[in-house]
Amino acid sequence: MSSEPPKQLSIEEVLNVARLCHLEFSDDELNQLAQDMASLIKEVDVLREINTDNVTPSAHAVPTVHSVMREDIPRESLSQEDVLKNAPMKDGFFFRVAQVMDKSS
Amino acid sequence: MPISPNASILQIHKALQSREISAQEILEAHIQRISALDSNLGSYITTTFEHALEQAKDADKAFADGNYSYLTGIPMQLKDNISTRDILTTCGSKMLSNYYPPYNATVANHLENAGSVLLGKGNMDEFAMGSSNETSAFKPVRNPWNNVKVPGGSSGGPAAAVSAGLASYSLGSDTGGSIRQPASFCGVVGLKPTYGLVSRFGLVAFASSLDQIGPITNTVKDSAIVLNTIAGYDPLDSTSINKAVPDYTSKLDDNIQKLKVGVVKEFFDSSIDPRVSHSVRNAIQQLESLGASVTEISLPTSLSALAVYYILAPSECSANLARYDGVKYGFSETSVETIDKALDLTRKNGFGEEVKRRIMMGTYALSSGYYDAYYKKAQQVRTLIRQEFEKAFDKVDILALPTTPNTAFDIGGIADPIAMHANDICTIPANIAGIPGISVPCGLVEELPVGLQLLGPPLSEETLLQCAHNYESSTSWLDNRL
Repeated sequence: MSSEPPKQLSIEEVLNVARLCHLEFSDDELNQLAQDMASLIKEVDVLREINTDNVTPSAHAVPTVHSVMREDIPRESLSQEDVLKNAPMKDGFFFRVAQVMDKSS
Repeated sequence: MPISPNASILQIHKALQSREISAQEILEAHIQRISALDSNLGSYITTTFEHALEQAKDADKAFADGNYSYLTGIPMQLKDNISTRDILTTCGSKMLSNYYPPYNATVANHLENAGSVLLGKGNMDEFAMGSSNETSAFKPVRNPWNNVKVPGGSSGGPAAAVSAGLASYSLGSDTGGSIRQPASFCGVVGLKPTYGLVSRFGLVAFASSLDQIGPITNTVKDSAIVLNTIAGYDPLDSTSINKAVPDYTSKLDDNIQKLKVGVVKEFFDSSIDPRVSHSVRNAIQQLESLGASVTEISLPTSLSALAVYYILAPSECSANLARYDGVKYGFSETSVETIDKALDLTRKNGFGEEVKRRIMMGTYALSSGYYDAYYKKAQQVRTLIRQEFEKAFDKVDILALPTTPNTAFDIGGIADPIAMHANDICTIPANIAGIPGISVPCGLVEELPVGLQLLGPPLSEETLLQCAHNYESSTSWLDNRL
């Protein structure tokens, strides 16, 4: 049993992960996350001790379940009206979004 | 004729069939109970009483026409991550607080076609991430047995509603124990079917390789009745198992004299409250007295299931929740200038703390350079866990263990996210291995319910239900419950 403190993630590492998944945090939150993530990483360290040489990874648990392709036959789908019903912003039959290019760029 | 709030589906069905009571009267009784009790309990996020009245009228007509099923006219609830056409489906999150799905989940269609009456949508941990229902963006749920205790999670609303007689049955979802753990805490029956037995189409995705929908009911027989209606192949779910489904009620009353039960010794160690262990061991003795043979089984690798879950569930969650961009549906920060800023702000303000922590952890585990060390490694250990279960099922038909390491804890009692996860230590192995599991009430510790968990090989639901039903019928639980 190791008595080492959990490996600390740097704030830069946490910020980089936040950028990848489009989340923003305050400095306090970033510090807390660095600690929480380090504790979780420590918890999963037990997996390193398990020998998995030549073990096939399971994408999911039941081997009889295989991803399938359906027949390429046209079928009814949702109407445009239904698809757009929940849109926060729309314009006719389009989803409307904030501008993509920054004006300054 | 008055119907007990905790009447089984079968009891209500018989009363409806003999026309002692109408579906509209049953519905009215449930509406009154929900109106009186749920402001305190918090088990519903949305109620759909007007819609329910129309369905109840249809059900009464179906009985008049002689065209009905066991579920016709039965008032029920769906966890709020199961899509219901034009009915608010929030997933317990601010992110979906204004989302009206344009389609029904396959299970919702099945229950609608069977004539069930939808009372509303069950409260839950946000995006099904939690073990106490405290991460719901709307309100916590109280345990009907003791209002200062949690109902468990993430299907806390469904378990509390069924336990308190605010729904005859409910559907939950189980990614790491989210049906079985709250069922155990609330003294009701919770079944997580084999991965792929029940369609996940229309279930808001959390961790797609683990998620599974299943019933929460008052009795084991009710569980079999509901499973009969929701199980089966669905071309809309690419992981659906294409096999004929048996009638899960047909073997319930067969005796268990030839059944071989394995007691998983790792789940009776010091991490389990000794009073819970004692209660579950008594239940296993009861199985023995019913004729089952009992042997001890060791599953050392299954103790790593929790660590596997810490990787797989957040990783898959981070991918699944990437879709919440504030563009197509749901909460959206629209007052900012650029789309990048809108995306960041929408996700910052739309997701709660636990969901964001898991997205971060999953993104980290999947990020460049770490994939092999974490995700692939976890998938390899999953293979080993599955193989260990396969070997165990060469020796025994089913495994018996506690559903939870303790009874319901205090609301606000566990602040540390890792300690919260550890509450699922007994339930997570079944998700990792994709096998079915059922929690059935087996006693009380300080007036709080304990659950006996039974696990079986893939597609062994018939045997699990048979064993659980034999056990339940041999106890006085149904007479002594809430």
